[in-house]
Amino acid sequence: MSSKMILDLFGMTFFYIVVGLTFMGLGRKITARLQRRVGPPWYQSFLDVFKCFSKTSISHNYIMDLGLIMALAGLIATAYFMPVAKGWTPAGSSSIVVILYLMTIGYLGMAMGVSASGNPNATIGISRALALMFGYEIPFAMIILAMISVLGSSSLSDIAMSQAGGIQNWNIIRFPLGFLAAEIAFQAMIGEKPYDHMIAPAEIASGPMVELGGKFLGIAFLLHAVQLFVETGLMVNLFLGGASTWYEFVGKQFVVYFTSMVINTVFARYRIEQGIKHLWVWAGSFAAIQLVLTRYFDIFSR
Amino acid sequence: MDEIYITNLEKERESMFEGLLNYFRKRSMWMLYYCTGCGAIELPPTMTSRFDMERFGIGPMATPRQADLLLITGYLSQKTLKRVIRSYEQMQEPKYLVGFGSCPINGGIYWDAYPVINHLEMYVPVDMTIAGCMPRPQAVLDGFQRLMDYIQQGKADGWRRYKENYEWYKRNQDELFARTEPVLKGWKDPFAHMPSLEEVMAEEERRKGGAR
Amino acid sequence: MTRDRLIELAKQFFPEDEVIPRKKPGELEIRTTRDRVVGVLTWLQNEAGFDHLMYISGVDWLEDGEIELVYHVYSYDHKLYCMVKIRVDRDYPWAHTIHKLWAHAQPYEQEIHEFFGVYFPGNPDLSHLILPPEWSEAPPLRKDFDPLEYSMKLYEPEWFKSTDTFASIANRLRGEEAERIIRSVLNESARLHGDAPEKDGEGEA
Ligand code: SF4
Repeated sequence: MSSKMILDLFGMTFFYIVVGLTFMGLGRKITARLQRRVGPPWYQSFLDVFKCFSKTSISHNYIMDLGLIMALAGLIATAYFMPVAKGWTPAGSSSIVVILYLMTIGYLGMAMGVSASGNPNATIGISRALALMFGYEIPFAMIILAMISVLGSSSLSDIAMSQAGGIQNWNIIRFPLGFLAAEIAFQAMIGEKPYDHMIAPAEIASGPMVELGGKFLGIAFLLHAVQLFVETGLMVNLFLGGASTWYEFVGKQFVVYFTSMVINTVFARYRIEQGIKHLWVWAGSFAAIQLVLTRYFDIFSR
Repeated sequence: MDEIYITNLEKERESMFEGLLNYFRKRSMWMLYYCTGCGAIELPPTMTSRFDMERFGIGPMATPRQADLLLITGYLSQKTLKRVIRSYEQMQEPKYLVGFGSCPINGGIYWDAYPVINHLEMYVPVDMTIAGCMPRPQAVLDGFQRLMDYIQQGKADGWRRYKENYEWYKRNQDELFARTEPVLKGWKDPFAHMPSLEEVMAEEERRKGGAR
Repeated sequence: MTRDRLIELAKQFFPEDEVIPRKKPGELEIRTTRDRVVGVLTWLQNEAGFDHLMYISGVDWLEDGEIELVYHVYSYDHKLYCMVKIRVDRDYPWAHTIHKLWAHAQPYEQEIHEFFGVYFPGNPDLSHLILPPEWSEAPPLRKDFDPLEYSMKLYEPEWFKSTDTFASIANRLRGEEAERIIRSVLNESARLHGDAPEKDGEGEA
């Protein structure tokens, strides 16, 4: 590994976190404006994270420390496989299978860490998150299957490059039903309403985060920031035509996140079984129709 | 009293970043509001569109572990005080405690009631009190701004005082929770030994006979 | 069943007890004694169709030296409301438990025991329900319990009253500023009380 690559990795980690935290702050601002409030400044999440790291914290056992670090490492590793501009990735390749596989490590690490804290609410939150994962992974996998079958490559940067040359080539036009399904699944993926079962503050006292104080909470914030980067990046590369420069990429990511925050503000929360049913029935059927149409009738594809 | 209670702490153990960290602390306060009394009703208007406390970075949090700010919203009974102390001790430092309304300050209209404590600051360190019965949202926001000033200047150090004067606080708490003697003398429960029906009736007979 | 019919029946069954209609239509009152109250309530529940025990309340009659227990029962079928009242001796207050008739009478009796000191032999749990577990005073709703004295003794100890200003000011302030303010408060109070300032002033001059 050359020293340039190491520098790249560190720089990119910093970039992911900054983008993710900015998005979180802007998201709170958007929610506030939609509720006719002034809202916090856009850099509020940075203040929150710095404050969290300036506090004392309590650890129940070393598994709790390790679990959270593992989650953060897993998500950052996922982000390295995300093509940023012109198909460039820090990790060199961008197989979508690897991305989907690594993304679960984040959840598993979180599950390991917080269930070691011994609080029942945390365990409930994690079991809800894993249950919901069944709901959105299946539609998402079907859409990706449809894309791979058309393109013949499982590399995310290939998928992004294949949409070059104008809006009419974007997958959002070529796979409209798939985009709808992915949008629903995306909402569940980043855990916003109507699928915020995992962090239901009024029911299970913020779920996995219930025992996290101080620095652990800071790590949880960073986790969420990187997660936002990965998931919005996935949507941009799959449907919005990738990007040729990094600021175009971030701009498109923000459009995705903005849509999701608006949906988040106007919806209420489903019950857990309603949520999974909704994901399977709507996102699942859209994705299945899309798969059948692309695979056997060759509609929408070039 | 003043010999026991340390009011002048030894010189601040400030690192060079303390001022900067205090800035982050004051701009991002997550509160846990303990709905003990009437006061909780003033918080929703303070949080929502009209007064919007989130613009100062103040927001509600679900558990004591995550929170920086414990709000005691109104009167506090002996039994609740026990839970408040437990929540306060669970919070991560630095932590601040705000007393809402006149009840936590000196008992308010419940100053002569038997279950309600009168001075909150005897049992836990209070960083800020907001007077009123109840304080309106404007007063609440004003109080929070002042608390932010105190945090910036390093004056809101109840958590440090709690650690340094723990014996003092613990003694006051034990006066409530670990007391063995009744406060008012002159009451003897005739049923303290939980007699059975037969014993009660026999005693009743005996008393009647004695009266005659 | 109408109220008049019920009163008639009750008078037949319990000739020793007073059965009084109350002012409001559909309400009546039965005054009985401790020994007969279980019988009256059983009759009301099983024969007269009073299926609901609403509450048991207590009244302290300090001058009479008695504590009154009021059983509120209600009939959903006949829309009738009946109070059954008994009086027990204040120095040795006890009554028969009725938790076999209505299971939810158990916490009501527990509460009466807690707040009035009335004992119910046979009630399975008479521990503290609402008051703190370390409570060992007189029952607080008795008229001769003095909440003010209790509050002053427990929550406002003498030493705290005398140091109130110091503690609350010093809690908030640091160092010289605190000293300055405390001194100004002291000077001010001395000036108001008259004698001290001259001496202080002379001493300093
Ligand atoms: S200060 Fe007034 S409003 Fe607040 S708890 Fe006491 S009585 Fe209620």
